Amino acid sequence: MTVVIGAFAGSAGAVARYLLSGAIQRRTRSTMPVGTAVVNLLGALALGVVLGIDPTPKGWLLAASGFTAGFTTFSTWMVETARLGVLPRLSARAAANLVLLSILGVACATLGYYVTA
Amino acid sequence: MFGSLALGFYLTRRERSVTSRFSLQFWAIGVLGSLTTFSTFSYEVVLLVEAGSMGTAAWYAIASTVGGLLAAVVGGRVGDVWR
Repeated sequence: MTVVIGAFAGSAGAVARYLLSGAIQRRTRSTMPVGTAVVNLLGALALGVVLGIDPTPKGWLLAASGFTAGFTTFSTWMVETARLGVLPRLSARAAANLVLLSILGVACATLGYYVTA
Repeated sequence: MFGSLALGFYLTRRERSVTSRFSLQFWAIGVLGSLTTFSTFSYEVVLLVEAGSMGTAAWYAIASTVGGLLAAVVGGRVGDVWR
């Protein structure tokens, strides 16, 4: 049952991410990967909120955390950063994407957690 | 880090061949995008800070991002030279 809930929630999150990040990216003129950044920060905030609430029964916790896990993506963030220019020299845009999103992600997760816990 | 390596490899490979749009969406967005997660990463850093392990939290964040980035670059390069 755990696997079934996790699978459904995770795949729903992935589909939501695909639709939302694409829609955001199309609406911006920026060549920075804004779509992925927004979904990742929203997801980090949402996971903080969920874990702060600590819902019962545990199925809800699993569904919600599975959704945010599928909704956010580490690999896409990394590949997009790599494509902003990493080798032979780290470009300012790649560094900004890496550092800013790390800090903002932790800030969003913290904010979500403390608002609800 | 594994997911970043695989995604870098896959996306580069795909640019050189005609793969269906469906398979791109399935693998790159669905499987690999979901295998890796940003929200859990952020929250784990928060947990480490809360536990008072500022040093460990910083190292975890730095190692994951730098490692993930290198993995993505390596995956892309391997995809480039693969025959």
